[in-house]
Amino acid sequence: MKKCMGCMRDYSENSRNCPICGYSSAQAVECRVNMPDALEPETILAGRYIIGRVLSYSDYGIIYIAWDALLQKRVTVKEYFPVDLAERSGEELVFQSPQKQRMFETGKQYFELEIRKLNHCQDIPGITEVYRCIQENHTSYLVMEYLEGITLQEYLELFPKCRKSVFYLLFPELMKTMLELQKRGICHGNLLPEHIYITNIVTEKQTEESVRKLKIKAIGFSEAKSRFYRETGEEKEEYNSSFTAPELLESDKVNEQSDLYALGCIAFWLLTGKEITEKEKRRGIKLSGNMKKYERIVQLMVTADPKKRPEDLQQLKNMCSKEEQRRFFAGGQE
Amino acid sequence: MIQVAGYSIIGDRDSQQDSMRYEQKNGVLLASVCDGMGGMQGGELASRQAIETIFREAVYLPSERGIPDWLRNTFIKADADVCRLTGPGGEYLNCGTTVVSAVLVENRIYWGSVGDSKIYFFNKGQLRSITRMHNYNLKLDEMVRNGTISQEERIRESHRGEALISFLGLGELPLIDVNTEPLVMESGDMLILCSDGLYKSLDEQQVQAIVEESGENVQIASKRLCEEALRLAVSKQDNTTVIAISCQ
Repeated sequence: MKKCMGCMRDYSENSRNCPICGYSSAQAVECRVNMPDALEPETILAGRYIIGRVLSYSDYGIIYIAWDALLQKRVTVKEYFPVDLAERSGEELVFQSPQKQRMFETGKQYFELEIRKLNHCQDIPGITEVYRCIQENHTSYLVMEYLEGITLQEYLELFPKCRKSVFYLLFPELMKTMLELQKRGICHGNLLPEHIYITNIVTEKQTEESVRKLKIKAIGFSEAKSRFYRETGEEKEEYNSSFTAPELLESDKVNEQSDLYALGCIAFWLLTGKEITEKEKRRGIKLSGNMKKYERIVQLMVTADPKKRPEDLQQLKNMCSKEEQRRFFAGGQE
Repeated sequence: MIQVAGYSIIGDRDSQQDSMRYEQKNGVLLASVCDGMGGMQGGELASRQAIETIFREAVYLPSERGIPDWLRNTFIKADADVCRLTGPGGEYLNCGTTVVSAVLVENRIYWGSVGDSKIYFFNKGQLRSITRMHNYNLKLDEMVRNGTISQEERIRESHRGEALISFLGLGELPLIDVNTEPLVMESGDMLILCSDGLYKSLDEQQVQAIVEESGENVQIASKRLCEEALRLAVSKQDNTTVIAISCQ
């Protein structure tokens, strides 16, 4: 038997491609061409994790699927690797200048700090489990839970009729998670439907009952990344302007208010099926019919001027009536 | 500040025969895990009785110096109480239970054990088991050491090695282990009390990894240890109970 570097499942040595996910060695070669700095499949990290294929990458880092050989399970490994600052040369890193090396080290410290903060938040259900930070290959790695599921964006593309159920049943879970994180001084920095994961999808047909059993998790924390870009003057984070607070688009400053704004945009998107337009940002949103009762709070969240927006989720919660608190922070059938 | 949490799973068994309890009062923490054995609900009743006896006796907890003797005497009382357990028809249940207990006075640990439940101490980044198994293997190893039997005879007898030679409900306790010098818990350390369901599925390296990755959170540690034991079980998973204690 051999282990597929695409999905980390075992399959017969006689098969050329993995019969489960289709991954082949040809794909590994292709990846080497497109991402020469990525770790090769079957690289061993910390004497314990077998690195597999690249799941995603950005200018800031690379995310791999991996196999935890000690605990016999799949994990995700995120590697800090700003490609504009360094290149991999065998086991060494090559920096384009001493200044770039300094920037690299600064970013690594923020990356590690964010890992330590998230590691101490493992009791909050709505975030990905974060296991440990590894220093190897002159950089840092975050080992975390491997999520079986899809993004909120993908979920609603597949099951558009579940939009309202997701808002009633799952959005309050996300609000509670972010409220708890803010109490512990952690901001997300780039909340989007693509950075929200839905897991526990057990049936092909989704009903309200199956939505109730779903789990929602925030992924892709970007506070460290934004801080890195801001302080090093490197290329700014690419934001989706429909979900990003205006002040964050201008100054790249992540804080509780910018997360609050993003959550408001997500709420609007869930309720209406549309992203907020520039006009609505300037003039205010309008929700009609059954959704009218959510308008006041969503409007507070997406207020363009941060001076007029609540400072954080706790302040927003304090401004809610009892019924609004139930709708936005407790959830349930409407 | 001492933090404590417990988690328990039934595994693949029909009933839960483990019991656990922990209480903090006046700066002193008492925690116990018991793993019962015996048919017809005997195991469940035995472990519960042991817990009841231990926490009943807790009102008599002496000053620190007297804690090891208190543990020993409390286990003897619990042994007698378990022996006296009867069924609905008045017949003796002939059941038994293991016990591991810890008493923490500030960050100083006193512990006691009868049977084959375990206590692990994660200290300065290393995990070690601090209890010994009161089973026939212990006796066999002693017999080899003092020349009573040969190594070949030891191997021949090993299939009986896991039979307990000391447990509450036996009527007298040939073995009670307590420590007289306290262990000292530092920030970042963790004490794990568990039934055998845990270590029959997870080796020490795996337990250490899970403890390290719990972010020093006792709720996370105790829950993940039980869940990973269930996931990694080679055969049917036994009842598994974990109490995790940390000092911050």
